[in-house]
Amino acid sequence: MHFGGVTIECLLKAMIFASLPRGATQEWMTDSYDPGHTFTNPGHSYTEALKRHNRLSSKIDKFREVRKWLEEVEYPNGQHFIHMRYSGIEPDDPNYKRWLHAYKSLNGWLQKQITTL
Amino acid sequence: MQENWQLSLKQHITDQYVRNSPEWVDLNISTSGLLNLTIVSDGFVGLSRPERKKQISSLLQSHVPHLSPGFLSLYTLSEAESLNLSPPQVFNAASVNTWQDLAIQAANPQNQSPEPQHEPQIPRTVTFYSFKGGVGRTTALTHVASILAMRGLKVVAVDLDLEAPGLSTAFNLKPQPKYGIVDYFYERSYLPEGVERSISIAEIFGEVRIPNATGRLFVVPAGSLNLDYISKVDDLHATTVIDGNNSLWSIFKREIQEQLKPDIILVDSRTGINQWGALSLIQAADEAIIFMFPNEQNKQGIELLLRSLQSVKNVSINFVFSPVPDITQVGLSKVQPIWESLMKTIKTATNENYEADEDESEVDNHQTPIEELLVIPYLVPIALADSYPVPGTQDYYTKIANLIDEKTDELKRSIVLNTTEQRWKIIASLHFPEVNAADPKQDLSLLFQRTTDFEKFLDETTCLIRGRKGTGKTAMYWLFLKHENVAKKLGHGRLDNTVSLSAHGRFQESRPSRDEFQSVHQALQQNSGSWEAFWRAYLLLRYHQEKSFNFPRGKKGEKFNDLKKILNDLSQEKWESEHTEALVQLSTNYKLRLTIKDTIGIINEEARNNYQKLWFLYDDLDEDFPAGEVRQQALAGLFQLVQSCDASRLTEIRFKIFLREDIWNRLSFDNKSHFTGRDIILQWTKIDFLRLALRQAIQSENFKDLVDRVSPVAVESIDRASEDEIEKALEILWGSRRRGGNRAKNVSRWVYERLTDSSGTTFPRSLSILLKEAKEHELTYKGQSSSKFRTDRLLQGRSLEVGLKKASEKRCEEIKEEYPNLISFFDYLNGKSALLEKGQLQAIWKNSASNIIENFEEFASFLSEIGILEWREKDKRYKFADIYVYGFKMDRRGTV
Repeated sequence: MHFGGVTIECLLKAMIFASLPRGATQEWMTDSYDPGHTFTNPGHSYTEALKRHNRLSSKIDKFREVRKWLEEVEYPNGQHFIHMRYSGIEPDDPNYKRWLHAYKSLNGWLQKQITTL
Repeated sequence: MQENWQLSLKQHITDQYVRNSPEWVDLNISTSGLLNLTIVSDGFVGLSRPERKKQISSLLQSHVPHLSPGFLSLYTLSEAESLNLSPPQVFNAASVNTWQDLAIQAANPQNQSPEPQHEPQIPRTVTFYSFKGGVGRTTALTHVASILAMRGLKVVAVDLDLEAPGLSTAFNLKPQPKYGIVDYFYERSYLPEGVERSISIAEIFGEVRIPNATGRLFVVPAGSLNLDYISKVDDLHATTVIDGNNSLWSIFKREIQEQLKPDIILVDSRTGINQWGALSLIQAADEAIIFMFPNEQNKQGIELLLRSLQSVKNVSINFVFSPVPDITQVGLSKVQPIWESLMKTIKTATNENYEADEDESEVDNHQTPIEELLVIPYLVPIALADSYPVPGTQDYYTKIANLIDEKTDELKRSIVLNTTEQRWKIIASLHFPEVNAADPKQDLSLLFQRTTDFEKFLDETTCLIRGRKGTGKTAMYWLFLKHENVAKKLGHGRLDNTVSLSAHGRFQESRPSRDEFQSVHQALQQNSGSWEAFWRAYLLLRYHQEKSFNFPRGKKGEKFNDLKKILNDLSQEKWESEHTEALVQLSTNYKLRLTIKDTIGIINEEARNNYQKLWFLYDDLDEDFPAGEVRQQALAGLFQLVQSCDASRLTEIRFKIFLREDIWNRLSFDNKSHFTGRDIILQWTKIDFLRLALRQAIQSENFKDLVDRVSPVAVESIDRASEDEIEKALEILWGSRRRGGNRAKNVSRWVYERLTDSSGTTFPRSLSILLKEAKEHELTYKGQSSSKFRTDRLLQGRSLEVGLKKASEKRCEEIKEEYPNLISFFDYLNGKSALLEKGQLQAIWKNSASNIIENFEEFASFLSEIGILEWREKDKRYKFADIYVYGFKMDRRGTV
């Protein structure tokens, strides 16, 4: 679940970079570095990441199911996926199944968007 | 604004959750109405996720029940740190490129930065946009472009309607340039780095030659329509960014600027909401002209986006309704509410606020006059034309061109006035001398303003010059006597054989006045003489004093001996009792009276032989004859003399009698109608008035330099320049509009109207006073930051207001002097409303003037005749003229 969350985080970040103009460096902007675009690192937060991709985030806003998947994958068992690094709590079966469904659907949907955005 | 709830919601959440600096709140509302909220706050320490959500949900429920929450990200500071979160970026207007970006901006007013962007620079880009096709957008653009080029601007018209290009066809561009903007954009988008470009900016435009135009018109077509074009358009993306962070548009604009240095770029935009429309409107436009067919559905929904466009980029937006089926008043009155409502949505963002501006909302908050709507009817010649512009249809497009032109001028002026850095020096150098023709030091050839009436004045049959006090009658009188050369120049040859003499007036120091005339009157009555005879004798005396008439000699001259002796015995220097007595004698003794008639006949004949005209000028009659019986008799006598001379065909002797309007109106004598059509009323029309203003201002060399740089009007040609040209030059002095936006009142009109009384009389002296005082007030702004006043003009609206007050005070003093018996009435006006009901005015009259004019109706009509007030049928009230309102300290509220 933790790594599932990380893959989605990476996918979102990759999609942000894919939307960058030609000529811009694929690095986040910081106070001291200007890569030719204005995106700062969204951290591990999906919502922060989506704020950097208006078109994708507008699309997600329009589909209730996708929002639910995103929520499920970002917060498996009610805690943020990144915090599961040091957590020993094991999910039970129904929980895991729900998560897996959300993860697969979300991943599939996002992959599809790569070609249309 | 109705969007305030977003701001207040954000404020509310911030107040509750942000207590120290690392904490933050980010509120985002999606275009579909979802509320996404991120809060990083230690207020959440110790609370589980569901608990946090519950807290926020109930807060949202109570504040914005209509919104469905989207993502709620609620973290403590340490959680946020472990997620590597950072506070939201400051909103950057430059990152708004697409309709979607714009829509998100529009949905989130709470995240917009309050600072509007800086004023756009030259060249400005004006985008012609329409939500639907077929409304004549391209047609309008072609006409406007050629009008602007005719006016001397360098115009570049760009076709960005890439999916349906048509501009080059509309302009009938021949030869077509090799490439179009599509080829240019395509190459710049996809050319591999390091490879030489093959399409230069110079190859994508052609010139439209307009006969007689002082400016030039270039057209950038979309490209030549072929299969290659189609494949390129399909593969182009308007948001493509090249060379780091340059957009396609900014590169194009920079290159076209380097190549052509245009004054203005006009963009023909794609219809509807799509990427090229977005490029034209959102990225390119400094100003948008939006074409629409006037109906409800066309205005709805889009208003919000437009406002957002303004807040993001400070684009000024105007609407043109086209094609309007019915442009009569009835038809237009249906368009007006749509326009009003659009402007209301739009204008919030454009209301610039300069501290130096007065708040005139209560006064100027009237409905826009229907004439100011931009409307284009369905024009058959346009619909059928093969190419544009279609001659004879320009009128409708001129208004749009004016709109663009006005702003361009404003920018130009701003640049001139700012870069010279001599603003204060120029202002200090302004001086607005009152024209005083009696002052020998004044250079009247520079200062005297020839009014439109001047031609009529020169007309031989004109013998009566009527006018209110202060309209320049005396200046004319002096002009002809003291500054003959100037007068001849102004007369353009019509005065070459004319000799002007003062028959009565201040020009000659030796002259009879009140007391003498009083005695004359008595003597005439006792000796059954007539005023007509008196004036004839006086005329001869004056002529003899100036030209020393040679009486016939020998036998023929015998009958003149007595007359000759009387005249020759009189001193030239001073007016003494002998003079008065002599005149009485000459006008009562029947024998002398007849001799005088003969003498004048001879004078007339001599003049005719010399091809000369003799002009006898009469001034100061109001001063020298106090109201009453004497004035009535004396003036009637004078006019009888004129009639009698006409009857005896003394065609070379001409009278020019300057008389105050109300005195003439009250004068009654036989055959008064003889003078109908032979009089002129000295009035200052708007153009005369503006000419005078400009004439005064360019007395300052510095100001004249400025005029020469921005809109040259030669001093010599002021009298021939059109109102437009004059106004343009004056815009440097006082700007074009009272406030920002094109709905504000035109300054020239404002000045003219405020200085005009209710009888339509305008006083040139008031203008000098107003400008002088405005200048002094303007100088008090010296040293203040330039953001506090408009830099496109020398005198601010506020300064003109201060000047107006002063001019009004002076004017009120003058009217008190003119009508001293009404002083107590005038004083009574203090604090009264400038808009009075009949009963209210009647009460004032009862208390202050009923002993002077016994009948109220008569009193009211007298006041309106002298221009103090007018009856407004619409309000059923009397309205006092602005020029008197300040001076009498009246209450101005609700007067417009």
